[in-house]
Amino acid sequence: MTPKEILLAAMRHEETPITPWVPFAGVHAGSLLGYDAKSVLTDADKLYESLLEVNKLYLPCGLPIMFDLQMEAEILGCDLVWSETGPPFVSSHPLEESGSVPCLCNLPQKEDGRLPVALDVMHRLKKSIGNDVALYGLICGPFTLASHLRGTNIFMDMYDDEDYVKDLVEYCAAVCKRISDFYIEAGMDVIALVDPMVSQISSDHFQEFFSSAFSDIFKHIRAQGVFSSFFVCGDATRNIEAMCQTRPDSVAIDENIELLEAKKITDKYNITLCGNIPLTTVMLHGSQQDNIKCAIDLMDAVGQKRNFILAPGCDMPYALPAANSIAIAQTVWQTDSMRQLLENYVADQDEFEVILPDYENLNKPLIEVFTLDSTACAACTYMMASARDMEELFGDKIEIVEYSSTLKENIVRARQMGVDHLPSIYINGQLKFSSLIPDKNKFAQHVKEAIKEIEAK
Amino acid sequence: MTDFYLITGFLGAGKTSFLKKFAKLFRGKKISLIINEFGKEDIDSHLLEDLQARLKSIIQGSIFCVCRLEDFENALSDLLEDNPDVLLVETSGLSDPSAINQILQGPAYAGRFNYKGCICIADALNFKKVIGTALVSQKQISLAGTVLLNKIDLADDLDETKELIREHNPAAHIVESSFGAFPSEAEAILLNPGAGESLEGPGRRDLTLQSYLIKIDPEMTRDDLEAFIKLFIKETHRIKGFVKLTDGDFFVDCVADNLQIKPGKQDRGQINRLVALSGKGMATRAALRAAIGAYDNFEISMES
Repeated sequence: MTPKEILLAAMRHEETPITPWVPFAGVHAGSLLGYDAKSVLTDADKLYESLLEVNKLYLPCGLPIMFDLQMEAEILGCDLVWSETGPPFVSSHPLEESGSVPCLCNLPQKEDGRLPVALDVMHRLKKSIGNDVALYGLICGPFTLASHLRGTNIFMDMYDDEDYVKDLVEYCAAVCKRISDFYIEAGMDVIALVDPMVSQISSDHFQEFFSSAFSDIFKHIRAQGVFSSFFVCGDATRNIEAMCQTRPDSVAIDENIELLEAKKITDKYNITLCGNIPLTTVMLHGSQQDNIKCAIDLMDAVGQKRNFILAPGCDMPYALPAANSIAIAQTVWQTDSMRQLLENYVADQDEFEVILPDYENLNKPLIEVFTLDSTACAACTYMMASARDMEELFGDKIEIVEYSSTLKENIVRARQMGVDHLPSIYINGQLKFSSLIPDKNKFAQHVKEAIKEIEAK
Repeated sequence: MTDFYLITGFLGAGKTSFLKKFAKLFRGKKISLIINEFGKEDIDSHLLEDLQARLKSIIQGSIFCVCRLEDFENALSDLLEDNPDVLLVETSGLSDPSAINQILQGPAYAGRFNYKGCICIADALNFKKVIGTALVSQKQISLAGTVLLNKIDLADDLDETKELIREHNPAAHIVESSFGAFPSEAEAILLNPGAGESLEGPGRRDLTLQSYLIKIDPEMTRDDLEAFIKLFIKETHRIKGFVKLTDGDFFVDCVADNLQIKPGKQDRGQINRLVALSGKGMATRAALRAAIGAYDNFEISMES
């Protein structure tokens, strides 16, 4: 079987000879050839070359073409801030003030934004390696897209103006279907709806506002004979069952979710689970042996070679050492011999010691936001944005700090604090919001209480 | 072959006033016009008769939407059948002319007309505000070969405005104007306005432009309606429509926060439906909801 046949067999829920593997190499693909993130997301030739390099080095069964959840938002009027080492993030929201619902006639066209780049590369890859590797077209999911268009106000809207959220999500779902049509026409084997924001809401809100939109999009993809996947990141444990009920062929999760618990649910619905090699602690900061061990542990835990795809939790960090990803690829293709390499494995000890703040004696409330990276992960972007909303309300009466897991020191800090899930917000050392973006009023209430407590001392 | 002129410009810039004067330059020729119905002034039938021009209007609803382009194409095809000498097209103030340009460049119209170019009417008084808030306004300027800077009698910082126009379109001819009139020496430029270039960078859509249809209760009085509109007028670019109320028939026409309700009646089209247009930075939906809530003793509804 070719790598592609193995991946497609997994999507059909058949037993596979090896565990299929899909490296989510977005901007990281560019790093393999020395291209920065912006170049690889705007220049078709550089993206094409970079993805050929991913295919050569990482021996994937499936290959995502462009991992940028801001591409649709850019077309729809959001301003982007670019970085050399990560995907761009959204810095303005066209519907933030107006709260209007766009006309369903105003949908992206093939010529818009960076779609010509994505479609060109899809066509070229289909021709050159499309027989051997399954190609993934990635689309920003309707909730994350609605958040890009409306900003953090959408969390208030879910309480104050439910009809508006439903109308806006209907529009966003129409955008998703339009983009999926373009990608299917360009030869994509799998369409993935990537919606990290799903991890940031309750199961009730998911059911009320989003589940019918997702069901509708997956039905649309299925009707065209193409496989679908529902990517989430963050702790979406509470929503996994509801996600399965929207009927994707596959669900992809990150390390915030316990793999075997999720597998029990996806197996119940006969859906292929994809995940969840830790992005930063293992892939970015770990050794080759750490990566081999992690891949083997995950495959051993699942046991059977059915309904499982090995993959990173989300978009791979730009500076991830290629050697780590190569080690995972080798482990997938030569599991037994790689297992031998681990005989003398000893995990590295933390090389940092972090001194935590004296929370009992702070002069003003300290809001600590633990993220994967607020400039690279949409859920973290909006968790951080909700903290910035507090800065607007309370000014210098509070202090806000972000600890991104892209720095090893911050991972150690998170461990010392007992942070279980990212993104999370702590106020004065106390966990207040774990993988659930608060609405402005609720957050402000917590801050007011923290100010009062300090004043009382 | 038909000479084709495209006339663009943001809401209230004075496109129709200009068009009336511009059309007279073609006296004696076979003229066709396509206009949008939402303009402040109507092309009067006397003028059409005088010039023996044929007119097609694109009416109702979201006139700047791409969904209305089909109407535009139908009108265009119909008028070209007659092989006019001149075709003048006035776009809606909120329309993106690049969408029309794409249609004109399509194979269906190859060799069917001679594209003379695009004239964009710019309101000298409000230009700075408009160019900063409406993406379509930037596109209208950049795609024009000639910019007619109108209402110069009302503005006092023309050099700054011209500089701003040149930032978006360095090559454009700029013709100064009041009330849509232009000096005779500018006629040669306006008859050969030329075309600008499309904006650089990736194509982006403007979701901030929005139209709302407001259904008015016939049980209201004129005063009720005026007080109701005042609650949300600041959150709109334009409100327009005919109403039949308990104390008479009226024509509502608001530009920015200038509210006018005059006696008026129309025989065609919908009565008691106001169209409100809004753009970037306007919380129209919330303001309308609040206004409807404040007048819940009447049957008023809205849809977008």
